[in-house]
Amino acid sequence: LSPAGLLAPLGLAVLLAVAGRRLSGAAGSASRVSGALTGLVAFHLLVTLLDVLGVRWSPALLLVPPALVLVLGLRFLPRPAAGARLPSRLGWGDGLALFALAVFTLLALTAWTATPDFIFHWGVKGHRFFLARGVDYAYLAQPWHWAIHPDYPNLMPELFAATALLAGRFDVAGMMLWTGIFFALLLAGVREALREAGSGPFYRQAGIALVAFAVAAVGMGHLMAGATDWMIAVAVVAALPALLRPPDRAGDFEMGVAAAFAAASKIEGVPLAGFLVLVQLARRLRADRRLDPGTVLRLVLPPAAVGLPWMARVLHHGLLQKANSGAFEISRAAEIGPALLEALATPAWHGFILAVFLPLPLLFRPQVRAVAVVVSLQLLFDLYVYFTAPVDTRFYVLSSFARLAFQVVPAILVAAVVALEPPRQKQRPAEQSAGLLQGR
Amino acid sequence: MRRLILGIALLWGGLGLLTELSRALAGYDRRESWLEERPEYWRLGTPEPARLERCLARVSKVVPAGSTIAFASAGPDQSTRFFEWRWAAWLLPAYDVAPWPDLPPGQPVPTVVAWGGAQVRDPQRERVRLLPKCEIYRVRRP
Repeated sequence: LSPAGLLAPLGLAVLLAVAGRRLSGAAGSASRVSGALTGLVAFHLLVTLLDVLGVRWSPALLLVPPALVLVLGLRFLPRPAAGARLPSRLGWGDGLALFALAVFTLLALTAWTATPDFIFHWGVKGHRFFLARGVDYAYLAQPWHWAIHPDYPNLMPELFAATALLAGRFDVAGMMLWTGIFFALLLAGVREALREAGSGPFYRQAGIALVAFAVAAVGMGHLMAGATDWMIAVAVVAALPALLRPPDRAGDFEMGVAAAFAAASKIEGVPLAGFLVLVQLARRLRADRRLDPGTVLRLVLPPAAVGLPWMARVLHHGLLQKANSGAFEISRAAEIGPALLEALATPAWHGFILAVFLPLPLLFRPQVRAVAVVVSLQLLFDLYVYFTAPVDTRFYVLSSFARLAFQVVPAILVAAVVALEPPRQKQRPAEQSAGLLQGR
Repeated sequence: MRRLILGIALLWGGLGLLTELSRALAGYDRRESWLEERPEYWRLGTPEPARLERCLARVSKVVPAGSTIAFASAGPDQSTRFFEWRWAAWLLPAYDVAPWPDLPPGQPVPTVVAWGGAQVRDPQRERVRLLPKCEIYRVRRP
């Protein structure tokens, strides 16, 4: 555990978040979480560009562009809308959530709760990219590297490699800190979402604490430190504010950025990106009866900018794995059903995994219907993969479902809290801001 | 009633958090004596991966970084052999670690690391003992 190893991820995360907020602010978004994701997506595009150009990464190449964006943004871009979506005053639920964040992160720094996938997959890639000063496609293309999913999107190992480059060495604690950063982003997203939904103080505080408790418990008990599932969970939660309000220009951008971030993070993020885009397009069509080019641009450009180069690189290097999909076999239901029941009993979830059944009733609540549609589609996609992937089905379900549920349960819990609250108690964010200003 | 439901859920979540925290801390305190035979359940800082790490640290002194090496495990089943190989890849990031003997035809691998008593039956290779149950097999020079 070295100071440089800890300062590197924190410094990089703060720089990307602040620079990203300038960009997202210019697109009309007031969400700080969306700003942070914008910065992370921009970072991914930067290192992708360096790889395409064959330029080896260096600390200067990784830091100067975002710093430049920040400086130019401060000079030329309009100030982001007031950060009213993340009020500075902390309540009791925020305090409990910070406690959960702190204990999870401190334990993660010891690597005791590190996910096995950090050892077998993400960490190996990150360390290798650090040594190669870039995404090492020659390494990924070796036939035995099917075991590390060479075709997966690379944002997490890119962040690991960049962190190691800045710190001067690959420090496991520094890599684990990224999970703490994503947990913090998740909580900030929950806070923004509950506020956007107009939830009252009790529901806001109870909601954020509930999500933090459930997530921290499973994060420790199911060994989730260093896992990329956090990033998918953050992407879904970051889309919540836009999904909880009528579709608008800022929401299009926030959804597009959440989709891009998901697509850059993990293979499951690619279909999620598609679902986020499709749901927002459908909402736009329903509300406006037409799609203007600006909407399509804000919504589709970010995930396309991430997804197309990823697919091009994967195809160019022949990395696509046959084990990703196969024929749909309904007979697998006999294996999938019992295995899902076992996975639903994963002790570290303490029952909160059962929230995967909530999207169905939530579909009948108009305010959270869009959220329910997105998470339902994602869960159905996960099920579809179980019916098609040419691998040991029972093992696949048992080894993955508790993690896949982790990607959507935080957002489902938020939607459930919003749906639980009686509508008459709800205030719009503007009214809450007025209340804060008046000291209420 | 709605607040009560949320309050109970919150209380339950808090108990879950404390339970997992307590379990994790207890495990962490016992990490130096944490015995887990199956490598898919090994954790960083526990004796089994540390034993493998000691072996592989010797390997990195005699095999140049950047090479492709193969890793042979004496694990009793495919799963054990697979995950020991993955641990070896994690512990040797400067090398491209392939699984022995499942190599593509024609793949040149000058060095095979044999771990845990694994036997490498290749008459063209000579054995070099590094530590107990930790050996390398190099291609014989003519």
